[in-house]
Amino acid sequence: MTTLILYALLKIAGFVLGYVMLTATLLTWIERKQSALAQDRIGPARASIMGLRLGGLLHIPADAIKSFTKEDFIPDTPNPWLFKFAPVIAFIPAFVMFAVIPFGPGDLIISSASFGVLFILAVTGISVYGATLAGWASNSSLSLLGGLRAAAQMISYEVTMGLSLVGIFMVYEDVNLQNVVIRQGSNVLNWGIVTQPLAFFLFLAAVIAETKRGPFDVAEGESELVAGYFTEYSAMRFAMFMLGEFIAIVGVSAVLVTFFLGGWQVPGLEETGGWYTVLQVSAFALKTWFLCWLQLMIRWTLPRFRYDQIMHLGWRILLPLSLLNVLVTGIVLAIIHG
Amino acid sequence: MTATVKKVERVVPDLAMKAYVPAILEGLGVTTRHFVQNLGNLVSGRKKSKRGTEEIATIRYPDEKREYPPRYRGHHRLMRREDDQVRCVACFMCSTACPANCIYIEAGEHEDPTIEKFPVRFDIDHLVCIYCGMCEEACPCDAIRMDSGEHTKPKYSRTDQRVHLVDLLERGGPSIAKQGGRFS
Amino acid sequence: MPTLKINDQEVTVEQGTTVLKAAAETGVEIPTFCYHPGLSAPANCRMCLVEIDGGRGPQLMPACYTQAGEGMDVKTDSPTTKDAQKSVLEFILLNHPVDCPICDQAGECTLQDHYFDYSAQPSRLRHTKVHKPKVKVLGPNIVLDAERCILCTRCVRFCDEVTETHELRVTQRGDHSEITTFPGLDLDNKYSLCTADICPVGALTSRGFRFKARVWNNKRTKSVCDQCARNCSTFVDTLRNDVKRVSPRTNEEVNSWWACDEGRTAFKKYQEGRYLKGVISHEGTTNELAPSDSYHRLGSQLSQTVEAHGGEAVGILIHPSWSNEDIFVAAQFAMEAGFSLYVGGRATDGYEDNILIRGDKNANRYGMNLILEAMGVKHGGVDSLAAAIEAGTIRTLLILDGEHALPESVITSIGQVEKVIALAAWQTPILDAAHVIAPTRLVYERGGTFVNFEGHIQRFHKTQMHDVNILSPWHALSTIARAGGWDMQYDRISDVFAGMAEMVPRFAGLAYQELPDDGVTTVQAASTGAV
Ligand code: SF4
Ligand code: SF4
Ligand code: SF4
Ligand code: SF4
Ligand code: FES
Repeated sequence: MTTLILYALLKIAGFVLGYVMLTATLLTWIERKQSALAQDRIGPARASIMGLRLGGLLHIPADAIKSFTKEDFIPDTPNPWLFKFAPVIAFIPAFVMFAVIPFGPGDLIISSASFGVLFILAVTGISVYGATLAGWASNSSLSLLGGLRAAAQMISYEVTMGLSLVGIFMVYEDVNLQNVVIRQGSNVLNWGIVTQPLAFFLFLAAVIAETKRGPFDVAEGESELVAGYFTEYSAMRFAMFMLGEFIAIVGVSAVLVTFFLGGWQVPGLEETGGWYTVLQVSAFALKTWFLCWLQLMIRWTLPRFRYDQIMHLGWRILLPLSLLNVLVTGIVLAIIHG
Repeated sequence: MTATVKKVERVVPDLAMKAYVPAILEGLGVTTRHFVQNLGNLVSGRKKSKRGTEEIATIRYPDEKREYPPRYRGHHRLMRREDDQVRCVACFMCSTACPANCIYIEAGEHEDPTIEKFPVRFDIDHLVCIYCGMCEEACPCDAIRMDSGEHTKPKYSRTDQRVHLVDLLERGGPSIAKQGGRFS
Repeated sequence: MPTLKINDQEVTVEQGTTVLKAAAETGVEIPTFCYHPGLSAPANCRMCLVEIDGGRGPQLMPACYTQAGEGMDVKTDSPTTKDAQKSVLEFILLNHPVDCPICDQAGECTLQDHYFDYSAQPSRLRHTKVHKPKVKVLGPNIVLDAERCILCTRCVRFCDEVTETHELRVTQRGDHSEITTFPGLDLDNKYSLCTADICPVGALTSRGFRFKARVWNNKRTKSVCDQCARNCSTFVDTLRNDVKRVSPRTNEEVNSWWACDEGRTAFKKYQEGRYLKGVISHEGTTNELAPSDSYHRLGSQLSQTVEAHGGEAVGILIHPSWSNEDIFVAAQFAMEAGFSLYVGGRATDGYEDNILIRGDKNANRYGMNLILEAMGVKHGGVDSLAAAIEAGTIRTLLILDGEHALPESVITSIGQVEKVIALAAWQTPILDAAHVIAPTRLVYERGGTFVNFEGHIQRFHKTQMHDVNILSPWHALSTIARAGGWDMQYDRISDVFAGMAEMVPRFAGLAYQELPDDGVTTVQAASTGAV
């Protein structure tokens, strides 16, 4: 029993704290550096310790120090408690998501629950509250508008998100993520992105909207709302919003990898155990990193949608398409299975 | 006068455009190309890519500074005579020309009768100044110039932005322009 | 009565009129330098050369000197005339230093103006200019820059013809000619600053105004000098709310073109010791008081004394340099409350001439007498004030304006008065005895009217402003009276003037806002009752 618990703790520490937190932290720097390189700029380079700059990497500790030492400003709001709690609500679900994601073969999953997919959908649903409550509790018109936009957008895209996964369940006939990965196998042609290409794009669009990142970042559209729902936040609470956002990026990347890119599977590698497992865990990590990079690249490539465009896209294009995807998948499956 | 009207053809979006995806992929291609090239340059330490097009456009500002163009109108300076005295004769032409009304001069009597008049106070309020250059244009003595190539530095208080005679003179150099059509 | 043509326009003028004046009558302007309406015309600058055909063919003749003749044909804009003007200017400017940047005259320089209007050509001189002394002090008020002088001799003629002191002369010859004072003589007469005014260029400039301001930055206000009974019309130039210069304003009825140095430099003595707050002195300590509070203090002091000892116990010392409005309100207040009224004023220095300066150094004694007489207010001089103080009948003395020349007897006995209170603009020794001083405005800060010794009434205007809470004397007195419980409802100076015009027959029919700039003469018959 004790070893089981210890093993579970080790997995949590290694995967969530080691891999996810590290990636999310690095992403705060990568986002700045990557966008700079894509836009022919230098990017962060100022923070230095005795002349050592490390290409701006030291901005990460600098930001941490700043977040911890700045004044924690709380606006004149009737809901100070809610105001303080909102960042936590935004932060936690992004973390919890990793519980059901297999990062390696066998028991390299924190909780091999049979309801894995539903858990992910439920948890992402909760994260809406963080943004909405933050906007509400800030007692500021800008925050409120940002919160409302976040709520409307996230609820709309959740529908597409769920529906686009239906195709995956139909193809792999399971909702346990480990099983989904195993069924995709090491044959690239059997991976979700090949069997469900439309669903991949739909799901990608939907999760980017879920994480409220460009081009779907109207909820914090600085040109009209200063910073949207977290306008009034400062110091560590603000940092929690930011970190939550980056963790969510890693999270959705991991989910995308699991459903569409064969999870930890290495193409052509059937065996597991020993060094093969190490290889497979690394494959998972690399695939996730690639998708993180892709998300950042999308953000720094596309201009922000207008709010009505987001709604139009969500309800009138993505939703019908995802329904169509389910229909076509069903027909094709019926034909294949006779 | 007849107005000339230029007709712009409306772009009728076809299916590919409406689907966004090709355009998005194309855009991703462009940003990725820049990213990869710049990353390559960064890693290999090259300044310019082989094609010579992608070049980092920004600089590390306080460490590196961009040369201002020679006609840049920067911090004022007051020029000096051959013997290092101020050239300005407190004629008030600059303060009269100044559209922002930010030059304050107090004139004094110089002991040398060939100079006669000189400024005992010469203040420019750089918070009010609009850097139009009218003052240097108006000066009959080549006494005030804005060619220091320095922009106005931020300061901690408003009063610090009032620059005084001493500061203006420190930046000044010698000028040997002839005055008043005097020969000799 | 010759009839002549000026630029093809017929005009008939008096016999003996110069062409210059005839042209001015038709609205044609001819540039001049040496001509001045107040001086003789030597016609030495030749700036006014115009083409005149007097019957013997067109000739260039100086307009300032040539008398209009029957059938003359004057052309002020013919090519010949223009060429002459251009040549004359080039000649005048030949050795001119053109140091306009350091020249105080720049901006009001006739040479600059004429150059831009009639010449505007660059110098063709390729040799060294003739140099002459610069910054040569000629007298207490005047400094000469001989290089800038165009030798128009206006200054020389002024000293010869107006002041008749003959200090100045032209020496040397040709382009070395130069203005100097006679050996051992300074340009030190009572009107010396006028030479700086009439000098068309920056050769003679005022030492007091030197480098203080550029003239175009100054704000110019029409005013009247209050330093003697002449009441010269003046312009007061202020810069950033500071009086920088006072210069004569042409007024044929009063001062013609001139004004005396003393009156023009008087503003300097008021610059120090200005009261901007009320002052209370009590047993050696002094405290400041907001102006409005100090008026209330004065009001309650007066009403206390009147309640305790009757109106007679209050002495009020008025100043004959105050404007009619101020004196009228003071007199009305005194009548209403039954105060004993005394007249102080500045002392004479015994000098008087028949140019401008009057022996009476008070601006408005004539006006004051008119008002007091018309209102029938009983009043005494400073001697009767001394007697009253000696007799102990005066419990409270209200001194209006500190600039009184009091006899020794008053100064020694003033300590016996229970309360000495004052309404004054600036510090003078007699105010040392005052227990409460309320501030009021200087003459430069207020408007009003004066009547000069010939009965000519003129209006002066506010030229600067320190603090709106400090009130003009008439307004302050009316506020004090109200604070003391008397009925005194003046809030606008035009109302005061209207009230006065009703009561004083010599002011009948006049209205404050409608007084012309040059003023009007109130005397029709021989002066009555005026000193
Ligand atoms: S640059 Fe323009 S605004 Fe500034 S001091 Fe000169 S004239 Fe004035
Ligand atoms: S214009 Fe030139 S000489 Fe004149 S006051 Fe200004 S700086 Fe001095
Ligand atoms: S006298 Fe007139 S023209 Fe001569 S320097 Fe002075 S302003 Fe200039
Ligand atoms: S000093 Fe002035 S007034 Fe006298 S002669 Fe010369 S220019 Fe004329
Ligand atoms: S003005 Fe006539 S000659 Fe001088």
